[in-house]
This record gives sequence, structure tokens and C-alpha cells, in this order.
Amino acid sequence: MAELFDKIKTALPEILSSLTLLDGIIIAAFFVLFLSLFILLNKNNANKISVLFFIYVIIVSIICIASNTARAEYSLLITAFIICIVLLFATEIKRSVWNVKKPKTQNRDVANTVKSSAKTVTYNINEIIKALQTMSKNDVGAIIVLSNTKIPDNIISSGVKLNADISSALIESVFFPKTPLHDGALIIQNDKILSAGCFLPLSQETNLPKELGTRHRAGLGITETINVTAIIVSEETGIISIAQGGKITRYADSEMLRKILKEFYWQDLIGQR
Amino acid sequence: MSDNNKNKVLFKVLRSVLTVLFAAVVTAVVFFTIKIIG
Repeated sequence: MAELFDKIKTALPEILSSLTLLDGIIIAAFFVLFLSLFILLNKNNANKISVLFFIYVIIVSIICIASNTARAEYSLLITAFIICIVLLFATEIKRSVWNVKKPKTQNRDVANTVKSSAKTVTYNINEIIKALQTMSKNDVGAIIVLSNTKIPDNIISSGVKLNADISSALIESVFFPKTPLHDGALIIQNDKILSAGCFLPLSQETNLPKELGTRHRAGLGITETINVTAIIVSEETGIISIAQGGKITRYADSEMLRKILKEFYWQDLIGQR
Repeated sequence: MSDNNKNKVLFKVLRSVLTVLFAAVVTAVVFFTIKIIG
């Protein structure tokens, strides 16, 4: 161990004094690579893997310095772990590559496309809440996706395009049991009901409570994939849940729904008027 | 801003700082190891 420390102590000043521009570029490249990796793990609640990777790098580095391992073998050991992480989070990487511009353009998109007044916005919020509460009271299952970003075409075209004004009567009619569209999701984009009866990607999360069924999984699935909010009414219990960013909040009351609708969906619109 | 929101912001900042620190340490360790063994 003492030998190892001596080795590092003598080598460090030499390396630091002989740093070149190329070394600076290599350090910057490494930093960007590792930072992206840690951000990816952080976003996907995989902090344990971050810590594991950190410990792995330290241990492998110490062993390689102590045993004079060749540079190629050391690089291989580090790269192997990085490849494992990339394979493990392949879907998330793909998603972040696709959504790379969404957060910045999201509000601008809404501002350009929606011409409704603050009064209409309040009316729409009230209508959505009214419909949700009626369905919750009558134990009617429902899933509503609120979006101010572009929804993938395959999801929109899996249902029936409506392009209708928001109204509680229409929402309740869509989800009325035994009607053709009641099983799919209703998509509200900006101030229009865009489509109904849509199929959503299901979440593959394994730690979900058993009382959450396919509808809840679909709500989580879409919020994991794109930046939208899903509101789900349970058919068994009538409980209203809100899914955002792959996380679900249960027992939403009217105040919570109003807050979510205002904050996430309409706030920027009201602010502009 | 409520205390709850303040804590949330603080937590987010701390997490970001920790992430950058983690990346910096790993970068330094990998770079120096490659230099030492190379």
C-alpha cells in the first residue's frame, strides 16, 4: 500500500507539469462522458448504480496501478461497465435523444397554437374537473392525457380523432362503460380534445401497488415516454390519480387537480394575457 | 417561497453539485490512472 502511495505521489507532479492541450481535451471529453452518464442515472433514479460505478472505478484504478496493468486492459474494464450501463438504459437514452428539444420549445408551441382567452382556460379547467369528479363518483374508469407538446402520431392514430372543444359532457360520454371508446385514453392538447380511445405504452415498472391496473400503467407509461400529465380515474375505487414524469400521485381532490391543471397546462397561457 | 419549496430547491442544487463532483472525481481518477500506468 505504501508503495502504491509513493508511486502516485511521484507520478502526480510529473503528470501535472507535463499537461498538454491534448490532455485538456481528453479530460474535457472524459468529464462530459461521465457527467452525462451520472445525469442519466440520476434522472432514472439509479443512484445506487452511480455509487457502484464510482466505487468500481476507484477499486479498478487502485488495482491497476498496484499491479502495473496495461493501459488497454484498464480502459477495457472501465468501458465494459459503461457499456453495461448504456445497454441497461438503452430505452431511456433513446427517449432523451428524441426529447432533447422539448422542454425549451414546449411553452412556445402552446403560445403559438392557442388563441383562447383566460376565461376559456378557466372554463376548460372547470369542465375537466367536473367530468373527473362525476366519473370518480360513479366509479367510471377514465384516463385523460393533458399535453401541450406534440404527441407521437402512432398514439393519436390508434384512437379516433375528435378535435372537439372541451366539455364535461363529451368527456363523460367518451368514458361511459360499454361505449367503443371508453377503454382507451382521451388526449387533450391545448384547448381541444384531440383524440379518444387511444392506446398508450404501458409502464414496465415492477414496484407498482397491486391495486393499480392497466389504466394506471398506461398513464405512467406515457408520462415516462413524453412530457405530459395523465389523470386516471380508477374503475374499482373511483380514486383519481395524477401521473407526471413516470411518478403517480393518488387521491387527487379538486384543489389538487385545479393546481396541477393550472401549473402544468395553462399557467403560461394565463400569464401571457 | 414556502419552506417546503426552499428545501426542494436546495435538494435539487445539492444533487446537481454532487453529480458534477462525482463526474469530476471519476474523470480525474481515470485520467491519472491512464497516465500512471501508461
